[in-house]
Amino acid sequence: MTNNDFESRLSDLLEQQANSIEVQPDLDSVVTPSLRLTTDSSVARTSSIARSARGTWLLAAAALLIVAVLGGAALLDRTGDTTDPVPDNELAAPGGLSPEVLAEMMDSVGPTVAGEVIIWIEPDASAADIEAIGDWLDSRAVAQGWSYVDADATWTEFQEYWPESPEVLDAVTPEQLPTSFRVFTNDPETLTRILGRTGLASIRQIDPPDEDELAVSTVDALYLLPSDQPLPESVVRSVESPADGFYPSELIVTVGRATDLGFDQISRITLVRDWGETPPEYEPVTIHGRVIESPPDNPRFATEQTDDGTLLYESSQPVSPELIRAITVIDGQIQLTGSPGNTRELSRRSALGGYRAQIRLATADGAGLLEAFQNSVVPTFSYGLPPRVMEDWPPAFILETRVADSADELFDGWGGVLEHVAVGDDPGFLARVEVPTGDGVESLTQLRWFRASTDYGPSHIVTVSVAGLSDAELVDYALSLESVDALTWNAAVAATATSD
Amino acid sequence: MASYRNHTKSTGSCLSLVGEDEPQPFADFYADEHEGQVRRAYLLLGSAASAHDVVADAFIAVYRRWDSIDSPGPYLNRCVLNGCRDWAQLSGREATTKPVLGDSAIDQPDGLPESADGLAELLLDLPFRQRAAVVLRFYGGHTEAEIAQALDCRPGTVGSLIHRGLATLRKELS
Repeated sequence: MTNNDFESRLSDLLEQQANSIEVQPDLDSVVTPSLRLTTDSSVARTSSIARSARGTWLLAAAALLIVAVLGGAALLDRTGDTTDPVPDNELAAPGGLSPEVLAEMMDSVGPTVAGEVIIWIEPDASAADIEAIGDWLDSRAVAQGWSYVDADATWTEFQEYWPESPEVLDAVTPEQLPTSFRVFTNDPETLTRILGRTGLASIRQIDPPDEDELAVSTVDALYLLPSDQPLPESVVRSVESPADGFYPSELIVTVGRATDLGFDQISRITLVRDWGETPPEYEPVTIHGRVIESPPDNPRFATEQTDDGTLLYESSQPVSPELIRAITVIDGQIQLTGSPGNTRELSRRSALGGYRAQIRLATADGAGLLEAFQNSVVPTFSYGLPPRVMEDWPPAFILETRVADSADELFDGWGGVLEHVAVGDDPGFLARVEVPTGDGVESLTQLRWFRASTDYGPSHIVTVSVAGLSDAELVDYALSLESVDALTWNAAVAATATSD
Repeated sequence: MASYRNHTKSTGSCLSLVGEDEPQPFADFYADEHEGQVRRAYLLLGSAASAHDVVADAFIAVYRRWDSIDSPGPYLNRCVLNGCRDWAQLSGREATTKPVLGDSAIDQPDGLPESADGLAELLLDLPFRQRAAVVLRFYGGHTEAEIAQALDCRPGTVGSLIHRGLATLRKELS
């Protein structure tokens, strides 16, 4: 049989297979994302919490979402168009949270004055960004007046909110607090809707697509709300949902002391789906805390702690209420487990915007929180910095390196112990690692660079199988390498290594 | 490919594109591209539902950037391929063992399975980039240059991917 015959037959079979399915066009689902998600008391609870003085800070980071959007609007308007990008009569999007509830939430962020809205500035915002936001507010009739609260004033205000909590004040530095605009408006609803319709992402994505941007084409966020067994106000410092993060879904709970936070106190997580052009849509998710759907030896989560005391949990599975329910507590021990059985079902939900879940627990006592989780049955963990993505890796140590511009740069950081042995057209390549035995390490082999085979950004992840090493030896060695920023130990491998 | 971009500037908003009296460029683009993209994604994923989802996601991405994309077709292609690759990675399809072929899938004179189902199983066992290159070449009829653009690689790489993909198919069938 000739090549041409083979290829011709291949084309015929592909055509036959492709035509075997029925294709259902659904333009409406593309141009009018209309998830009709219900809202309930969880949102109202947010507002009631926020009405307290400390509640202002509870929602401070949530407002970061807004400032990101507003920043985008400001940048847009600097081009000279001072009209609203979307007329009000087009703002009513199907489904989602009602404008009234959104307005209530916005109002609740304000500390004392009705009609005041706080716009928190992201820490990395430049002076030009802040000026652009001011210009944007100047151009808007809806903003009747505004003032900018700089870092010193913010710190003073924060201290006033926590007069009897020295542990909180000790754990926070002025640089960590976001500055803000205080905007007086008689129409927070309109302001909110405009912010909700103008996404920073739409600006960032003007450039040709790259893998990073495509990976966050839909931005999700998770709000963590107190349960019926409420967290002490002295514990919860903030709940925030960054909209413009690398990860599609993110939940951040800031607590004063890690040991005061238990997952059995988490009863509600609200999934916020932000399409950019429409007001965010909210979906309450109930955490029952008793669902275990997969054996612990099939870990689907990885965790890591950053230098700022943040402990990250990340799933390689698409996010779903079912998956989040897999976070549970049994006999006081935190259990994380995935739902591999419903992977396909969850994947089908990708059109709704959910891809992965990441839960970030930020605490003033990061070491205590990490210890609490490590002493539980969490099968995998890592530590190091900065945050990285973990996957459901094959059995191996995973050494996650800092961002490198090239393989040479990456390998140079290993002191020459890595030998690049194969580069082909494949996105990754194999390399061999030789480690001097004088370091107590016999050999590291089967290193693979996953750079181009993942969509997780420019982090370079190498997977190293271990021969003849104790856990402690390899951990010590890996962490001594300048280019290694994070290390994940897969417990399933530990058993293998031990038995060997 | 028809030019869609010129119709969008006057609207000022993506959301106003549909339902007005003026031309509906995005709707035209969607009508032209949707079916083919879904069928191609189906070949890459082996799941009609997932193919619909991935393509829907890709169109949403295109729609949100409609005013700023000069060439929506290639952009859409990349979005779909990236979505398919994500799905393949998440589903662990590439880590599966070799497919078990039914009787109908072997012993054919031309070395290819008799049924399209059998071929689909073999395709899904290929590494994603090889799979994508083969599908784009032999289903979509794309040139190597077009495939290279979609896969973000050099044209020479496309030839290698196709060659290795076909070689694997032949080997599995031998």
